Amino acid sequence: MEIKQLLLLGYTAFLVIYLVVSIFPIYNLWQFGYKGDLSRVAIIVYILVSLSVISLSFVFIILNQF
Amino acid sequence: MKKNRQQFFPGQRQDEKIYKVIRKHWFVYVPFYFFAISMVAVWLVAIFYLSYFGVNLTQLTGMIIIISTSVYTLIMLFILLYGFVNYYLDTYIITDERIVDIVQEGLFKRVVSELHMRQIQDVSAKVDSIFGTMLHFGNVEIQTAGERANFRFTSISYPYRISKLIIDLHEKAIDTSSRMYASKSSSNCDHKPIPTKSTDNSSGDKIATVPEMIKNDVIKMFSGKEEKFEEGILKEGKEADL
Repeated sequence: MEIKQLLLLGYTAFLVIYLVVSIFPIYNLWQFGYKGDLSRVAIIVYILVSLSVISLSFVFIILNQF
Repeated sequence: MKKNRQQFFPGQRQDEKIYKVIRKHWFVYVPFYFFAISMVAVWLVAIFYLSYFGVNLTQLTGMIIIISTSVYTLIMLFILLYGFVNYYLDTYIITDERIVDIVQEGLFKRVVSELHMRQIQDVSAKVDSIFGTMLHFGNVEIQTAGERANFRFTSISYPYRISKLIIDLHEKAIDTSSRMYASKSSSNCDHKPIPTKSTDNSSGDKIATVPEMIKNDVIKMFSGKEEKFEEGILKEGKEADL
C-alpha cells in the first residue's frame, strides 16, 4: 500500500472517530438547551464549519493530485 | 421520547414561575476562544508561509499538509464546542420557589442541585477583579440553613441585582409560607375538631373532654387564647374562636 493511500485511510478513520465523538456535545446541547437560546445555533454552526473543513480538505487533496 | 424544551429543570412544577435563567458571563469563555483561534491562526500562517515563499512541495508533502491542517482545525473546532457545552450548560435558575444550580462537568456528568427559598439565610454579592468591575460580573454566595453546602454563582452578570432578586424572593416565600401556615392553622381549627371523648352534661349540651396532651399543644400554639378553654373541657363549637 502506498503512503498516500495510508494517509487517506488514516484521515478517513480520524473523520469517523470525529463524527462519533461529536455526537456527545451535540446531544448535550440538543437535550439540555432551552427554547430560543444559543444551543441550536451552536449545533448548526459546528456542523456547517465541520462539513466545510472536511469537504475543502477533500477538494484540495483531489486538486493536489493533478 | 419527545423532549419538552419548555421545561427548564427536572421536577419543575407547572405553576412554578421562572424569574431568571442565569449563565456565566461571556468573558469566562473568551480566553478559551482566543486560545483555540490563535492555535488555528498559527497553523494557517505557517501554511501560508510555506506556499507563498515558494518552498517546493511534493505531492506527498502537499497532501500531508492538507490532511494535518484539516485534522488540526477539526480538533480545535471540537475543543471549542466542548468548551461551549461546559460554559453554556452551566445554568442557574431562579424561580419563585427555589434556586436550581445545574453544573455541566465535561460531556457525561451533569449535577442538578436545588435550594428552597425558605432555606436561604444570607446572600452576598462580590465583584473582585478589574474585568469584573468594568464588565459588571462577579460572584453571588448564598448561605443556607442547616448543614447544606452553600450555593455559589460564579462569574455571573450583575451580581448585585441577582442578590437583590434572591433576597426579595426569599422574603416573599417566607411571607407566603407564614400566611399559608396561619390560614391552614385557622382552617384546621374551623373544620377539624380536636379528637374528643363525648359526654353529656346536665344541661343537655354535648361537651367534650380533651386529652391533656393535645390541649397543652393547642394552648402552646395559640398562646394568649387559653381563656377559650375550660379546665380540661372544651365545648364543641368553641374551636372556631381559636
